[in-house]
Amino acid sequence: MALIETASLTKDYGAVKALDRLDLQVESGIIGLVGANGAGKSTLIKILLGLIPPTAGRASVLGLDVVEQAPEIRKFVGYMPEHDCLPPDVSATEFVTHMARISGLPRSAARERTAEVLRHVGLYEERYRQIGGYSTGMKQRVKLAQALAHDPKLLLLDEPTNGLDPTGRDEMLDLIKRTGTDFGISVVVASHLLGEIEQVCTFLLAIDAGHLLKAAPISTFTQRTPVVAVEVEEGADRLTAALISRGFKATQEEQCVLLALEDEALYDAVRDTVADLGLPLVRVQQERRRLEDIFREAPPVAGGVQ
Amino acid sequence: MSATNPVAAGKPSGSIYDLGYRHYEGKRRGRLFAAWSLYVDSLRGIWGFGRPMSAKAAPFIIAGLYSFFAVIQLAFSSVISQSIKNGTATDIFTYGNYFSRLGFFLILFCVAQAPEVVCRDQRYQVLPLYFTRAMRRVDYALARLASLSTALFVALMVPMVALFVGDVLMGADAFAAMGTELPRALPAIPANLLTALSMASISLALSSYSPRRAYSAIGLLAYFLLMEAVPAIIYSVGQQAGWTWADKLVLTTPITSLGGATNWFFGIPLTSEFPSTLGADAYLVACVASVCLFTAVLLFRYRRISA
Amino acid sequence: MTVEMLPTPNVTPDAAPAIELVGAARWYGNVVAVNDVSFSLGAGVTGLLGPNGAGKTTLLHMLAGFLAPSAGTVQVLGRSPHRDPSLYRQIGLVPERESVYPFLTGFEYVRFNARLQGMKNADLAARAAIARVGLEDAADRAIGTYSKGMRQRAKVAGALVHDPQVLLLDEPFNGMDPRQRLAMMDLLGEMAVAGRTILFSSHILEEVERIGTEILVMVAGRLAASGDFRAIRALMTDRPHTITIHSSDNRKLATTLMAEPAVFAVALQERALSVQTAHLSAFRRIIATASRTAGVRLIEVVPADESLESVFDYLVRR
Repeated sequence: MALIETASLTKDYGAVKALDRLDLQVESGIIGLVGANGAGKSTLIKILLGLIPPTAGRASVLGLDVVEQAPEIRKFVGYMPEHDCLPPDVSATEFVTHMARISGLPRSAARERTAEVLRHVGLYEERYRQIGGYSTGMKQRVKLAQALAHDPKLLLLDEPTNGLDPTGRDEMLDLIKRTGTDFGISVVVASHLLGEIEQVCTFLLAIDAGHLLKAAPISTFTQRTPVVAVEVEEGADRLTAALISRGFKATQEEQCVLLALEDEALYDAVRDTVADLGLPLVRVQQERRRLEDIFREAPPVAGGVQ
Repeated sequence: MSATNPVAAGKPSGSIYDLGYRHYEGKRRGRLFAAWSLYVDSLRGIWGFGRPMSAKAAPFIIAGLYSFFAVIQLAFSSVISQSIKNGTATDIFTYGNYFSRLGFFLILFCVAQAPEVVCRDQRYQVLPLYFTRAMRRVDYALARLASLSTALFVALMVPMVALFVGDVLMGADAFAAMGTELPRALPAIPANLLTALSMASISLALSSYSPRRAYSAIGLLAYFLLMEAVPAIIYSVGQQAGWTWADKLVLTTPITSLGGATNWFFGIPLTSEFPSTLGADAYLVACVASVCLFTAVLLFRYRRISA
Repeated sequence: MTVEMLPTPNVTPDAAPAIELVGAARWYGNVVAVNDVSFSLGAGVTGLLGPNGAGKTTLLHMLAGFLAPSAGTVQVLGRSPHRDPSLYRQIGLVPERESVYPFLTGFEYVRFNARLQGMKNADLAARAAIARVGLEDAADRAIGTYSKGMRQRAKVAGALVHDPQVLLLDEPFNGMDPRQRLAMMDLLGEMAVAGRTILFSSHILEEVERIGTEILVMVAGRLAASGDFRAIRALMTDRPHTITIHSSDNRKLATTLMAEPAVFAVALQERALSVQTAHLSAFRRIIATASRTAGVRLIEVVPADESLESVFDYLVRR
């Protein structure tokens, strides 16, 4: 049973098509959802949650249809919206407990789960203070906690690192990774930041102007290329010349020498040449493709979809 | 970990407990439970429980003021009973006229608390969190309506109880008095229920159209005041100008109509402020229609609101 | 403290700095948002970094002329920008908060900004600015229908329509999708090369790193560091450098390296060797030789904490 499946899913907003006959099938894991050019990713999330109906086509979550069986789906899905959604005049404990009960957990189970989940997301004494006084990082944790409190099978996180400073982002990404791997919950992370998707996710869903651009494991997009980069503090030109004279294909880019990797013997040659020339070696690294290459290669779609 | 005598045989022992994430295998309740939970939470919020002390001030003070007069009447029941025997007391509070005279306090209660009920979630955009759970939009709206209706019902019934106690104490024999008083007091229950539903539905329907509490409060206050004053003015002008349709306008007043409907429950005739052309039953119908109308508006609002 | 301030970064030797602050401070009652900040910037792009609440937005607003400094001096192009409308023509600000009228179309909004700046050919300038941010297709739709990323681009167009010398951007990439981000990074790079002074705040350090190496780091209102982050890293002498190595025989290499004076710690991890050194340059000179001596093939040598993220982390936590 696929985690999420859509068939010809379409959503029209008058002149603008947010989703256009989208077909996809995703299995469990930590899935990165990227939208280029418009609101396709937010629209998809809202449809999967049953917040808006599709114009045409079908979608299912955990094998349940999003239109016919929306209440069933919501028992097993946790949602962390992108925008602020917390009232300021209650404490985290009260709010998450309340939400757990709305999800159907009996009173004592709601209390216990809330306490546990707040611990897992890293809120300690502050959980008894009013949310209004929390920092952005703490608020994001509360949002995540309310999504986890009823033990969902699938978490939908919409821009979970929005507004967080670098330290906060690292902590949130770490939390998400733990949720996906240690807690055994599938996660969909919708984000504009390819760096964090590369860091945390195992599968990529890229939507462009309502169509499916890519749907594949992240590893397919971050494969190593047959190019080795060798960086030195100085003397890159001499290094390039020496390696070329040894019969290797080499080009120089500032302090970096790019070599075609045809044979593992290249590494020994690099080591020996650097040692002979007495150059300070900064870096030796096989280049990898990056997620953003997907977006550099596909031409932008005309029409500026919203 | 067992307490071991270090001299005794055996290595010292200890345990590390697994604090990892645990899944929930227990019961998951459905719509009804979710709606009930929201209802309870909402009702607590109206009275300020689970909120800082300042949130309790407005509802308790206003409801307290509303009951105040009945309590005073209760305190002076011995004095009053004398006047009743003498036939000099004509202006005391009864179950039937209490709301008509003091309903203004409950307007304040609604203006203070109804925005608290429906504006908060809109203002802070909490609604998506509800609608992505086992709670439909109609459940949400009805749970909120039920909570404010309950709160108002409680506020309305407290003085009724005080009056009842007062009347019982005025009689010579308490138990016998209870027997005679109870049937007289009972119509207060359905009457106040209708009042609570009517005021709650109007308040929530109107307040739900703005996420800002201040605007909702002002709008609501303006509605109550204008819809009391304007038909009354037109009616009195119409009386002199000979407009025969003007008396029907009084049916549109929120509070006065409730006073009329209350009279129907108690089987007493309308007072002279009311137009003579319409009986109490007309006001009953008007109030019931008002409840239906404003509830529909409330449900419509929550169907259309974007989340 | 072993981190030293680098002297006046980014200054073109023969011109006055475009931005200069000396002991600038700004407080609101007891809250000190900016505290004794001094730096100067010339042409080029500089990233303004710091935790939430560090005072970045206040600083940008002081530079834009909205706030006067409570103490010290703030000078843009040689003058104080506070309440100096003639200077505003040279400054463009992209604020963080939503500040566009939803009922205007993108084009109307940008043209409105052009007219506010007193430009004669506002229409033409607006069209050009719209083209620069890639909003041509949506320019005639109301901004209320735009996605967050498109609104951001409209704001950027509005800020550069009058071709200011100084551009200040507060979290400009917020809400932009990957393609829009790449395009915006290219745009900022172009403008820097063209001689503009650009200061932008961001939390996404991997992107800041891509645009340029000059940074200003603020922590709790104070300026913690300024300049090229690689040079800043080099100044952190109390923090050893970590290098991760993959080789054909990690353990053997570890033993050999431990004998080197430049190395003070090695750690064997699952598939890599982590080396710590207090003398980075010395280490870099011996690694190839040491590997050859040990007869070990070097497959990967990667500095583990030279990135901007690493530098920032240290500056914020110290």
